[in-house]
Amino acid sequence: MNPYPAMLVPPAIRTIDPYMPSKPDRHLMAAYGIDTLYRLNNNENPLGPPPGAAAAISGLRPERMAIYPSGDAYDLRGHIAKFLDVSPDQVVCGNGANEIIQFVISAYCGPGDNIVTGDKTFAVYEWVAEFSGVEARLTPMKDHGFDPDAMLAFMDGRTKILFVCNPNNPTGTYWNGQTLEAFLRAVDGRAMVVVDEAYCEFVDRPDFPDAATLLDRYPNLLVFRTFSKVYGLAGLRIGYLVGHRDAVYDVCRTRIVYSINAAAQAAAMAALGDTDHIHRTREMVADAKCYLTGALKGLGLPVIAGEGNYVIGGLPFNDQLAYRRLIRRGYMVRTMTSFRFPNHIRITLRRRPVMEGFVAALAAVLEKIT
Amino acid sequence: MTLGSMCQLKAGLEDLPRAMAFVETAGRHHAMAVDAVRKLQLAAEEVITALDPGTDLEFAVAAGADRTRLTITCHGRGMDLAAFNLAWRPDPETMDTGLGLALASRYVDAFALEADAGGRLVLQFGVDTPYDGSVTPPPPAAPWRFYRLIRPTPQTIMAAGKHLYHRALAAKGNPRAMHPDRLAALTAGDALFGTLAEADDGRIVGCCFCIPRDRRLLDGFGPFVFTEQERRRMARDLACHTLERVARKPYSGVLTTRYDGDCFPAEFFIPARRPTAGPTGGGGAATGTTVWHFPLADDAGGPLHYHVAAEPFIREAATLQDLPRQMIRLSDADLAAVTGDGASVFSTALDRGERAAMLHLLMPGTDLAANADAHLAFFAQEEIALCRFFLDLGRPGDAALIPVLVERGFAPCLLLPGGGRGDLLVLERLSDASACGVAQGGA
Repeated sequence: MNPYPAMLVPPAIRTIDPYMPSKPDRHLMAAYGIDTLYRLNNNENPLGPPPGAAAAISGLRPERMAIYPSGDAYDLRGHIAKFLDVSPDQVVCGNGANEIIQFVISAYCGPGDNIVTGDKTFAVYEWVAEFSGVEARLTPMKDHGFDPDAMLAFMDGRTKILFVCNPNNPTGTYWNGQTLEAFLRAVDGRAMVVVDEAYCEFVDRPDFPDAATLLDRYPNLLVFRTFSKVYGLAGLRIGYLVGHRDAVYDVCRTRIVYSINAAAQAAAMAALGDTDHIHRTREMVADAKCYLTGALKGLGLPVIAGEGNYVIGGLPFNDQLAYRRLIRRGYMVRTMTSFRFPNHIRITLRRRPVMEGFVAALAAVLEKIT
Repeated sequence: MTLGSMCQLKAGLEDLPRAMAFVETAGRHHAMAVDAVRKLQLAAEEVITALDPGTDLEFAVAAGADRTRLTITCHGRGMDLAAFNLAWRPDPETMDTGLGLALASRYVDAFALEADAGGRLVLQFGVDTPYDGSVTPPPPAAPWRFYRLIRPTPQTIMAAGKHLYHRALAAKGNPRAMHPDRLAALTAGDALFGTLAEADDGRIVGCCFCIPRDRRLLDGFGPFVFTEQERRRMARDLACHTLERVARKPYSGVLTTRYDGDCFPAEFFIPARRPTAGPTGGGGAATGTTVWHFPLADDAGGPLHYHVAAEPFIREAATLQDLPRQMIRLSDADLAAVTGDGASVFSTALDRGERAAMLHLLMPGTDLAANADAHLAFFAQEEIALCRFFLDLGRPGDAALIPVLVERGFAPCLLLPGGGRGDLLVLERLSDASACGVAQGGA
């Protein structure tokens, strides 16, 4: 018997350090001795799911849980297709966008291939590439945004996918339609271009592009969206991809079927396109963003605030330290060293009273430390 | 590190030939030069003949990324543990000979004494891997259009190493530490983590990396930028990537001592102070070269023992880092109680190439001051420029050393949360004649 099963792990995987998610809220509250914990760390929607989705979840019958869900989210794909005015064959659903990223990298990349993306963006593109044995080429951000010229400069014959998060998590920058189309033209079909629109519903700008409308002209374009953010269904883990029919067929080669549970499919069906919910969320986010950016600047802190339901604040001390001090006051933020922003925290935007409480807590932390 | 070979021996002349043969065979297995094997044999001979005959010893030889080490482990029971101090000398009136670790350590490039988890004493003798001295200079700086951030590979880190090696040569520092082959070996051995900036023409134009060194601390190097273009932006990117790369590793923090000063992103780090060399050996805590700390680990709280001799530094550091601590001050009256009644033992890691000694307290004792003096005298004799003492403030016996060290010119430069059983206080002392290239700013 081999006493060292770790030796079976490929050398490239052994260099990867596992990501450890934070402990459940009740553990943190016990550890820090607090009665209330406001989650400002994961960009969740504090308004929760739209009423229709909430009703769909409440209406789930326990006996239905004994039956497998649709293996390819058949009804949901049809619903999304109708909403986007595409064919159901152009839609793939997954257990959150993370799983869809894995489908796409598995479908297009083999040993020796590479992906190109920005260096301060959603880390899962890079992680999945690395543990799939695919090189992740990271180009520095320019003014906190993706630099299209740098990304193109590092493409080569083995580049299979370019990932653009639009708007970008965590910086909130976005490419307008002109920049996106110029990029797609320059790529010229040599690689797939993934535009991750996880936060697109938060953007209320006339020049923000709807990448799904470009699918007819760019068969190498794939667009990701999620129900975790504005639709408030993060706990159910569901997202989707839309692309050209042929590209979607290729992605389906590596798709895991039956990975989306029945509750998620039902809730997503009910949630999609609830414009009232989107407007309510946008209003809450806009108000909180206006207040928080002003308050952070008032505290003398640098702020990175673009689109999306989050804001980054720079601190004059370590972000891990800020996490500890703030959680003791009931506010959990995202430390940003792991996003390559040392000494920064990302704050999810919530209703004004929560933001005011957070600012008071942060002011107290700053006063004590500085 | 790849495990080479191991054997069980007994101290005394009887097993000496076996010990010599073992070291020779293991050395051959690791492709060591004859004179390097001889160095390890001499050190082994010194130990095996000096310990009480019949003492169980475990010998192992292992090749590391940049050094081959002979490790000798013994239980230490019934021995005069004071003899394991590097500065120990036999009393000429009462004994003819003794454990000559000082002599044994002279045969090799590096020596270390530690205690393992089972309380056994572990002696390590290291011989540096020889590197070719003819490192070609890097190509002159040329403009680039774009750069990207990559993880170092043994091949790519060598390009950065060429820059750093020639910088160290120019600064009259220790070029071996930055030798391209050494950095490549460390990278291949997963003992170097960091980031390189690669230009669109494939040249390496900047780097930043960490090497695990002292206990739970990472030694940080850089950022170094090898071009004149956008130096600050590139330095920030390199630092951000490197800190992210080590953020999930099991280390307490990064201590950066060598970097490009004109573009160093100080805003990400906590300044720690390094003493300057001076007539008293460098006690001027506030005026030395700045070194920089970045904490990585979360904090679970706990007791922190301290002495008034370093109280302002410790309190400031604890406040700055918001450490939830039960602060326990040791009065002079407490010192005797926590130091026990035997002889103290210092654990020493000596690196002759770096001219540096790293120490911590293996066993408290009543002779802390005399032992410290003896070690400092030994280091002066051996031309050691930098002494770094690590005190685990979770243990009161360690805190008892604070006044002893401060009186001898050590200055506290870093409080590393959770660096040991408790917090680790790092005190440094530069010798009067320390060369500017030793472990200071600039590669």
